[in-house]
Amino acid sequence: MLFEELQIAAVNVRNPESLYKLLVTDLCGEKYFRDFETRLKPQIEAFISISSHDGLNYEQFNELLLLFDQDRVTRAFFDFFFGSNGPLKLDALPTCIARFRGFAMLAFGDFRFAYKKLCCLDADGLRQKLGPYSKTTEDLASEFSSRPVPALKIEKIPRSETWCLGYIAKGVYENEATAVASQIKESHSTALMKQAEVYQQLGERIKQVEAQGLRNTDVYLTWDYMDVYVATSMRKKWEFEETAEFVSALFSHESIRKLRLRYFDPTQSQCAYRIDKGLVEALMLKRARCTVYMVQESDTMGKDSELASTLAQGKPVIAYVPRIDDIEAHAGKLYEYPLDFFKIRFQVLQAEGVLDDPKLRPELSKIEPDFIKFINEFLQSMALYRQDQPLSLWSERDKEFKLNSAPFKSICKLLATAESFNFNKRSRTLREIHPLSLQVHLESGVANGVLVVRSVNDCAEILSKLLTNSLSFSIEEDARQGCTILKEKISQSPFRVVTNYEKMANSFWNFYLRSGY
Amino acid sequence: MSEFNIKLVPPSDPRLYEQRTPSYLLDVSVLEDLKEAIKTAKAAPKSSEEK
Repeated sequence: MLFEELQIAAVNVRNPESLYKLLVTDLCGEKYFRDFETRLKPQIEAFISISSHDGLNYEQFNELLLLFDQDRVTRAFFDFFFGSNGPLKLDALPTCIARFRGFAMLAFGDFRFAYKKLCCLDADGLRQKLGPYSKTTEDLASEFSSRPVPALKIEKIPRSETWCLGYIAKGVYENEATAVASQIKESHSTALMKQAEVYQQLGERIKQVEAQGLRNTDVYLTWDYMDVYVATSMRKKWEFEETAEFVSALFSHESIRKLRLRYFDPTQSQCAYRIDKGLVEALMLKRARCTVYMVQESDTMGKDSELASTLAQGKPVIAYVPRIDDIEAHAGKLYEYPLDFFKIRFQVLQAEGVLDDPKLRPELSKIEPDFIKFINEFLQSMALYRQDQPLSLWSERDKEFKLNSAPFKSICKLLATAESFNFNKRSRTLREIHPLSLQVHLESGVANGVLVVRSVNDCAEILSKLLTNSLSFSIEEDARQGCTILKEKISQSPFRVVTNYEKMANSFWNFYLRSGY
Repeated sequence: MSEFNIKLVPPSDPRLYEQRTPSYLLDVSVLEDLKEAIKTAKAAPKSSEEK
């Protein structure tokens, strides 16, 4: 783990008063302390001289702390934060203090409390208090890569069939299959019989995929390790497919493959009842080291609860918000989506005011000058088509409609542009605006922030680094928000914070620290 | 007028939680009914219009 704090790096450690403040406030976390006493100047200069030439050894470092009226530290503390490779050179001091402050933010959410708790611990105590953060990258990488393969493997359900596990998608099937069965009792036309057989094959396939999903759940329950939970919302067919595509891309990424991670993929799991499903997911959330949360077109209570549950357990959440840079390519992808997707998305984007956003309107107008009228006319033509052909799972007929619909390509482009804008907006909300993108670890009281990424590559990189303690952070004083932020460098997201609102902090820790953490 | 006079009742609405059985699995009776209807339709003599 690397920590950088520019404000501390800029401190002139050769100035006695600056050195005093650096140690007392930035290392020991004191807020109320005695003003610098000039009578100490010659003694501090002696320490500066020693540390500039030979470096301060452990004992000398403690003597300096006592000179500043601060608690001494243990050998284990000194070795962990200030390095065990010989005496501490003066120029290295700011980097070492930034390292301590980074760990303090990660594990305690408070500098003073962290110092008081950690300065007196031996190596075992430090490992216990710093938990997973205390392990080295080399040890973790070696632990992951030397893991045995599981005895039981997941039976892969192809992306195009993952929707067969969907409770709501299956409801659509049952509804439409019942309507078809009812109709062929009255009419036996060749086209209708053909469609009835398509629905029969589909039903048989759903049964097979369900059986696979049930077996897969049993397999997940046997696994010794569970590293990653994927939180997603899957109601519609396209949501299953998008999730399956993302999960496959993420876990086949080079930086992830070598770690031999085990992950819970919801597109591969089925339960017979809602109670079981809720409990299985709760167990997977408890077992996993972190959650990857997919920001999709819509978010649901289930997925948001999984994000909250992960943060409340003090575990990291990586939120993946797709970034759509190539509008033409995305429009091409949308062309293949079911027609109902367009109806729902345009209606939602319109209802949420996205299509009226003054920043988006000029972009949409370039595609179609009167884009609202254009979209509404398309939705009307689709409604008429649906009256004639109400079976949403009959994709062949929908393809014909798309081919015969002159404006359909422009419709795809309009939707791709609007979705791109919407995802950018949601990414910003999650990273910079929403107060609940940081939630408190219920045991320790530490505020735990969501790491927001915009590409599969970044998601893979951050996941790999997160699990091997090799992330880089900057510690930044944020006057605008009245706090100090531990910002993760790939995602540029706040991972931890220390507030300047002292009354709240005092009240907060009074209640949290009673839990005996 | 629908091409096949098919009406979806209730409408094909995604919010079907309350309309389904407690099970998360496919209601196999739907599939059995469909299979039976296909079998019956195949066995029935075809009218000239249906041919």
